[in-house]
Amino acid sequence: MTPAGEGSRVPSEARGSGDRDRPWTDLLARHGGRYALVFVLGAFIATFAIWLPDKFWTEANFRAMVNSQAIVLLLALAATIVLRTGDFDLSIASVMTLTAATSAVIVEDGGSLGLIFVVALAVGVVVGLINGFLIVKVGVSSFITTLGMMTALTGVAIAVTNSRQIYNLEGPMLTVARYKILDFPLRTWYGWALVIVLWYVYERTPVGRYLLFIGGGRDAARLAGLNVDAIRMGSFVASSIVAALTGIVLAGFLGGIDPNIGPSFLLQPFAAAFLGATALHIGRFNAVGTIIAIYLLVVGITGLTLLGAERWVNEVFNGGALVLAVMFARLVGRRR
Amino acid sequence: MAAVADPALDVRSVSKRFGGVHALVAVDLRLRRGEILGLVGENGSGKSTLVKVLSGYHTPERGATGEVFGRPLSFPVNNPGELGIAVIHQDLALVDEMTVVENLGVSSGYASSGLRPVRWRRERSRSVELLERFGVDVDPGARVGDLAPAERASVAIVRATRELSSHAHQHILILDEPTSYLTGAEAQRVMRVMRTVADSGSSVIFISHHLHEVVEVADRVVVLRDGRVVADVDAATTTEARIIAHMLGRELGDFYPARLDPAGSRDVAMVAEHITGEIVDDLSFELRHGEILGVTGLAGMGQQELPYLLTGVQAPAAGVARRGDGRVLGRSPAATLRAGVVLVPGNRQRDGVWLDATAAENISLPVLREYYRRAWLNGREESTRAKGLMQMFRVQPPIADQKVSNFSGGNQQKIVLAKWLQGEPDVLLLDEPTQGVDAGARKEILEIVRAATEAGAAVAIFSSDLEQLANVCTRVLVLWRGRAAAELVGDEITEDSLLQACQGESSLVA
Repeated sequence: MTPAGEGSRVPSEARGSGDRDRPWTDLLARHGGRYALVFVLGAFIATFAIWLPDKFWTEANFRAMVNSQAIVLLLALAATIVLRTGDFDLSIASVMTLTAATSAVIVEDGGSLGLIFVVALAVGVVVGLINGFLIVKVGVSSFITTLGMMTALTGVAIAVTNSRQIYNLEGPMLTVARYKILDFPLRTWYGWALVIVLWYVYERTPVGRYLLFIGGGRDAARLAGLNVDAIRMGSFVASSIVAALTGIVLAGFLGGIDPNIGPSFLLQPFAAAFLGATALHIGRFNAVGTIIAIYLLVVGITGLTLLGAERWVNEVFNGGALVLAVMFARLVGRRR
Repeated sequence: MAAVADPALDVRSVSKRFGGVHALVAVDLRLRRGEILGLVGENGSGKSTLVKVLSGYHTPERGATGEVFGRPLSFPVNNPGELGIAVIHQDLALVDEMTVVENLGVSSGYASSGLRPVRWRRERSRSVELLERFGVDVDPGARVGDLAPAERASVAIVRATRELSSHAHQHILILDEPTSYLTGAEAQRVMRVMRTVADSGSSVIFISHHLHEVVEVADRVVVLRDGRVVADVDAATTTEARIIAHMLGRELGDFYPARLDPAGSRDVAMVAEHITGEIVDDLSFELRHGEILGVTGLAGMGQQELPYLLTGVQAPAAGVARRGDGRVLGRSPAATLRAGVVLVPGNRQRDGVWLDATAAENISLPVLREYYRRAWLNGREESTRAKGLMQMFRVQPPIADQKVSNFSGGNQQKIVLAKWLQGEPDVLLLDEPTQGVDAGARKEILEIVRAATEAGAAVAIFSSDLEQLANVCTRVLVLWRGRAAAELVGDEITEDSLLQACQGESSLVA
């Protein structure tokens, strides 16, 4: 159809990015907020490097910081999958604990790595489907459903290990987490790989955009012909699977499992995911922002600890970051 | 401008710049006591900015002066409520889950203090008295969410006057499009309440896109264009057309595009068979290529529900919609789209777009897969095409990476149309397509719809805007309690004949 005159006129400036003609000050004002988190990370590193050149500014410290966040990074990325659709999946830490427990028990019983994977995948799929069914089909709030699931699965994990802590396992499961490439253990590489995969899915496939529209404009998404229920369901299953596989990595890394460990992994991934949503694509949960946020948190905590802060700084920093991130996102949202 | 003795409000030289944009340029505004002042202008003409200056949200540029009820007004306006100024926005800010009595007291405090218990009986009688004084006939114990839209708007007005009473005797109520989602009869009820407020000595600034309402209820009309006052006229001596000319700075020409000839309608594009929903009751009709079918009725007669039943957004209790060739439309929006039927929803901000996403992202959503080739979403191609569509649909400004929330209502609606018309659908169902849209944009939108129809699309407009239907439709179906009460074709369709048909069974044709 040809509505109301001058139909097919597409001028040449339509092809540019649109930013090119604007002065750099304007660009900074428009886009400065997007990179604020990167600037803060840089400022943290520079400050601590100058302050504590011998303790902070060393290769060993940087490796330690990065590797210490491998599990949290995987969980935070899992969290973004569901957060992007406007829901919560608080059960990921417990899914991880449960599959770490099943993995540890299978190793004790002499089971194969293949069995470990099959069981973990099954746990991920089943938990994801239950979450998805209750939330999408029945309509229970995702916060409540996954909070309940979190507690229930912690119980199941304790049952699986018979209320024991399992230590000192050996075998190929440890290799899965600990084998080193370029002096970084595999568990760190998994997180980096997942950042790339999720970046691709979120930014370069229609599905990533669909997740975002379902999170922000669910009715508009449905009327645009998206299968909203199926996509939400899928995101719960995907986040559970990532969490379940992370459980194998955790068991391999620890060489066992303490089934009570789950709740301690609850907050940090969400702090990172929310903080990450204030970077690069403001107000949108994204993979690259999340990894920047994780490194920002660990640099801050490590720096303060090296300066002599007590261990409690950890919790204060993570909790504070979560609240600040949400507050910042709100303020930015209001300004526009 | 006529000298106003002892005005309620007198502001002068109000200017406001946003970056390089002059939103207001030396605006003078005077409001008499007991007067209803209609404030009109196209989207982006500065109405909202002016209101936000008066409510203290914006600080005007230096040089602005003002008086309220003879007392000097300093900018930025601090605590407008104490000065006797209240603004009621379109969303009304009522709490749906609470009763009328609770809502009336919520902002001004209940008849109690601190932690002492609220004396509900006294609170209730106070509310009853207040509602009666303004002629608002609602049950004070009813949940506000259960009230009709006009009743909700009236409750909001009464609440604002109560809130102001604790500070000042005389009030200035600024009503920012309180009637834009109301049908004619409902708007009348709200306008009666406005008149009662004015008759009690308070003053009202009434902002609306519905110019006939403004002309009808206001004493005086002030027109803004590009941030300037371009006309200040007596409502009794002006006409809608003259106001539009002031708003646009030119004659609109024919307000509506010429009506298509009903003889131009061709083969059947869609058939609705025995559609039944909550209101819609065993309704069957055909929709043909090349026609614009209007579906209307009084509020709650089913025309708001029907398009959603047809497209699988809401499951019908019975009945089925088919394409002309017999294919069933399907039970979901996705299936309906695959069948070549597109619904442009009435609730633009909830169903039409996602405000926080860019124009390009919203426009491309239904066809996003087309930009995904060789496992890569081509963002540049997406925004280039979106920009082309925005220019074709005359979205101002045609910036594809701008968030939709930054566009005015009329431009948002054009973005919605661009989103849905890009695929050149066979059947186009439009729910209130020009709601909350100014006169200039409305004409452009209707021209777009007309062009699509001439190109062969089958179009149905579901609306209670009788004037618009009378001017653009080739055929109109009037609903009464979910059934077709009348069908008018071609020149039979006038605003009067529609109004009569809407009144129901007394006028039932055959």
